[in-house]
Amino acid sequence: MIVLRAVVRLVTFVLLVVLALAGLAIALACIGTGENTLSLAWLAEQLRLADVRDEVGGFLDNLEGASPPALAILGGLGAVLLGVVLLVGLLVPARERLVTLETTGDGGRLSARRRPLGQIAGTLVEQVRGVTGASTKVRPGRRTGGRLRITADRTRTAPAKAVEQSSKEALAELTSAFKLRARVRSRLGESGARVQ
Amino acid sequence: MTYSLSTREQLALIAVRAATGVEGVVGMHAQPGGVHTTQAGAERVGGVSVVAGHGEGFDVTLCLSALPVPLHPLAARVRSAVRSRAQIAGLSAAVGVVDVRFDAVVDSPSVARA
Repeated sequence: MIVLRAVVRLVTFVLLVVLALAGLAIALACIGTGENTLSLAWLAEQLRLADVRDEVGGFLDNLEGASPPALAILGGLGAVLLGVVLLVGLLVPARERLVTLETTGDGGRLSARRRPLGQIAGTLVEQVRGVTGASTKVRPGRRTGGRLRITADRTRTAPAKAVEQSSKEALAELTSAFKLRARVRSRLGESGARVQ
Repeated sequence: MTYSLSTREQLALIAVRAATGVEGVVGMHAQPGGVHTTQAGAERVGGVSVVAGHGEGFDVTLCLSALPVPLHPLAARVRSAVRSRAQIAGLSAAVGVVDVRFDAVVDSPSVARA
């Protein structure tokens, strides 16, 4: 969604600039009359609108024929797709990526952003014996809870299963409080990494 | 010319003072772009938004930076502090729903202020 919004903003900006420049050119051309001075006829001549009309006319005739060119079909589909993407980026509301912990009786919500939760989870896992580091990823659920994916780096001497089990136990309080489904996997840490 | 703060603005200030006074809260977490920021007179109060709720009161949203402590009890203490401060100021009826959200967890208070 972030990328879509950025695309929408960029396209909107570019289109507005193009529109403004076109409007300025037409306004200037409206000042005079005749074909040699600044006028609409002069502008049309500069832009070769007559040639463009002929080319577009030929293209549209081909399009109406029995077998339209494949490039035109692809272009049309691309334009439709771009339109859908722009509409989605424009109309779909931005959702704050929060993990909701609880909703009190009066409707008050307790929530946390993904990053602090990931930090806490990482800190908890890094306290497990044999773990040299941890990377976390939190995905909030639609209403409450969410998913927590942890990758724990371990030493060569630490068994993978034991590290994963201990990590889950270390996370139990956090995951139960925030209704997070934890998935822990371990991998060998990079050489030189040491248990703190 | 004097400018008296509206109830909404007073609530924003009260909520921030109450929240930052709770042990475990490092500070307010102001977001870029003025999101969750309230203008209270000449003061721009970051990390809090106060909006008219469904009832007669105002809904308060607090965005906090906290120490790595259990968040459940901390949020309860923050809510309680906000309500009691509002009561002292005679604005208890103006407080609607109090939302607490943790935007950052820091190891020490100095990290948050940096």
